[in-house]
Amino acid sequence: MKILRSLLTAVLAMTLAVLPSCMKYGPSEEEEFNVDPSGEGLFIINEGNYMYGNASLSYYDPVTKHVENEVFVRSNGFKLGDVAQSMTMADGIGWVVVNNSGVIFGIDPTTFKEVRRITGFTSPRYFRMISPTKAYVTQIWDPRVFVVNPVTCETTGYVTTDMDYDSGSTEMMVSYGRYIITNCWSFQNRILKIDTGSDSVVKSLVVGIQPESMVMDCNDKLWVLTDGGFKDSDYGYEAPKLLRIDPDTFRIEQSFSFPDGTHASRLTVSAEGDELFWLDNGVCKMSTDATHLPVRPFISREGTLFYGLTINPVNGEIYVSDAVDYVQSGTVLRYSQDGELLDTFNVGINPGSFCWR
Amino acid sequence: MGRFNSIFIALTLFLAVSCNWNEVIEEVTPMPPEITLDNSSAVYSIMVGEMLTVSPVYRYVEDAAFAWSCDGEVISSEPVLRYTDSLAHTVFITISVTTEYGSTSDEIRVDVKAPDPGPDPEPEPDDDFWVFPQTEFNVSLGRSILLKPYDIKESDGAHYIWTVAGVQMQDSAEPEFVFEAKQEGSYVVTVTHVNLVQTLTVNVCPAEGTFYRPASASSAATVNRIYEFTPAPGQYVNEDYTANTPEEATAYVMQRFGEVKYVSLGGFGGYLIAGFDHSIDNTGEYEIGIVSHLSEEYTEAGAVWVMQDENGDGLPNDTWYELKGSDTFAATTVHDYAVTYYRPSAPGMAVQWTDNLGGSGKVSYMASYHHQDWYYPLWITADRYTLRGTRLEAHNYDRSGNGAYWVNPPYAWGYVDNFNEVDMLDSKDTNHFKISNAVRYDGSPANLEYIDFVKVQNALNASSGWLGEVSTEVCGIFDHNLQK
Repeated sequence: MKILRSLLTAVLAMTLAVLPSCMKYGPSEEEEFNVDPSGEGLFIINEGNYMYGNASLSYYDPVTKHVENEVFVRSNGFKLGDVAQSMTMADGIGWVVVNNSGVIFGIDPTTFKEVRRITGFTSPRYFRMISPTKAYVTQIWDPRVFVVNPVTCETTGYVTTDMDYDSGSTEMMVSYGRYIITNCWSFQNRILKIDTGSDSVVKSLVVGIQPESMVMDCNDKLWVLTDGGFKDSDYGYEAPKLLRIDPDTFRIEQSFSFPDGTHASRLTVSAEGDELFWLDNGVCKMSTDATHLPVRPFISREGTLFYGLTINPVNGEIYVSDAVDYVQSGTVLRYSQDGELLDTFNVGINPGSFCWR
Repeated sequence: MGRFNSIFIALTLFLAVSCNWNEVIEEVTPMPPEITLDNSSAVYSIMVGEMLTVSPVYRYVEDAAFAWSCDGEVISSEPVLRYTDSLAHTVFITISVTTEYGSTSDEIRVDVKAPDPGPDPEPEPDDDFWVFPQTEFNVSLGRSILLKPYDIKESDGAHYIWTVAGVQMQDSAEPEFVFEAKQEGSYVVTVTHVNLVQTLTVNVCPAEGTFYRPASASSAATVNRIYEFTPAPGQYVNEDYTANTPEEATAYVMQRFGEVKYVSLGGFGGYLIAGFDHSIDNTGEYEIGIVSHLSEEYTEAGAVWVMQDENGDGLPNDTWYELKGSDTFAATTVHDYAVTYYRPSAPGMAVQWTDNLGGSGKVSYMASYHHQDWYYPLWITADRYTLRGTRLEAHNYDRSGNGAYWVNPPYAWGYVDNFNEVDMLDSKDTNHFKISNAVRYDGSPANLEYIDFVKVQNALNASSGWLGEVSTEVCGIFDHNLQK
């Protein structure tokens, strides 16, 4: 039962009083890395355990099938921090967002050395580059989207919203022309369209309880997955939904409802943009022109605890992380496009997200 | 000349196109078949024996071949599927349509349901006057053992007569009898209440140490065998594993321990029994480590019991001694607490329970999170079973006040799956235990020189709202002596 509780602890803990950030930088020896800058590479962002300061970064070479764990601390001599949330590649820098440490590290993706550091956040979630001198950072429990300069590492402004500090939050960001679309996930029900020229919200759309993830497909259609919240939540609960949205009109074009009690998450899109993937009792796959949700997972979870999902943009292989029990180190399972398990490798604790180099 | 040639070629092409015009129009559009199901979710539900008709709308299906298949077997070649099933289960059926221009397929799910049996009736506990969970006992020479009937229905004015080898030893209003193991041998013991007689066997075994198995250089710190895995019903029971026999259940635990993955003991009383390839010595320090999911905010405390192989048969059929913890002697702790669980009459139902204090309740079916049909262990063949042990007072409460955030503060020390500053030592995932904390039936030190078996048992009968029952989770047990 603690397993189930752990699943929601990261979310629910943030509903409690604001806790002091936990950033345990311990000095340790530095190692030299220098991975092939031309090859593929996959970063695995291991959240670690909330308040344990044991977030970590793993690096996997899909060609050599070699994994290096704890590359951040080994390269930099200090720990990544508490609850690594996401990582984004932009302008040759990997931006690692460490949620409960309130920091974003910019690292060299070949040496893993820190080259930038942006601070001043309370609970950052995602980083998105707008231009070489401008990026957005979303936060949970903050109605604002931070505007930062990734060169000077300073906050230069905010995109304000009509949410409040008690429950306002923004999450993932998807680019569409001059716009950024962000989902308001925790205890929210909308997506927002932000004009990156004026740094202002220009449209808002109610999509359902807790839009959890978003992707853009090959037809420039936005797909949003809501998780529906959780039962007994003050905010309410509803069955999750998968929605297709026209990013121009900002209208819902198609809506698929999952059965009550479904736990769908981690919406991902194939490299070609014509197939959607997500986690729901396994890995589910659906064509973007399908007329109904798949009736069963494409890859069964078989005793694992699937937690993160990504698709290799080069060959379409499917990578799924297994959090095991949310306590011990996790693993990553690599599947072929056909769903055949190819191999597994061990990574850090709670591998929640991925980033291709 | 060149101009003439150009006109000629153009005219020829025009005529050629004109001649084929009608033919082009009549060609079938080379499109692969399209299938649109008559149910937008593709999920169909029928009752056992009921006929399901699926009538998709098709396009581009001239001269098409239709194939409805299930588990690789074609069950129909008609455009419309008519399906019936005599079993309550879920099946996946694929419709494939093939023409010369391609093949298209889609999959549907059919939930075949049994008639709703309605809620289970209130369980009726046994009305036996007394209960003897065990009728044969093994005890080492020189020790004493407590014999007693449990869960006596009415005891006012009762008196109990105990005999050993035909000799009356006690006639008392107290039902308990202390058997002194003074001489090796097998003894027939009887207890009589009015016209009820229960016969027990007590085997007095050789003195402690006779069957001691010292550790060697090749001894393993980890358990070498799981002797029994009997969880209480729970949301993690039968989930992601199928065990239809006790042997399969213990094999599952061994596999999980090998991977240092959790095994849920389910609700109150659920337990597992582990052994080692050697005896674990009592050093007066921490000798046993038990790995679990430790959370500062959410304890799911399990009590630990130890046993010597007193009769030397290699099986845990001897005398259990509880390792005292911080709350063993607390007024709120209930010893010999027993919960009886009742098999639900249909899949997807809560498991009802009654206890020996007159209480009752349910292990909730968590349809949103754990979808397996049964929370009642598949390998338990009886329709009801009773688990008995020490129950601690539950600490769990909803911190949020709105049902969202449940916590369960820990106990001071001495339990599995219990975050504390005393017995975790320098570990983040392990509680440690001292054999010197083993106590006898009267709470006095058992003074065991070593032990051979360890039992971990969920000591909480509690539920936390939407999180469901509190269930001890165990990931491994090891001889801490060998890891120092």
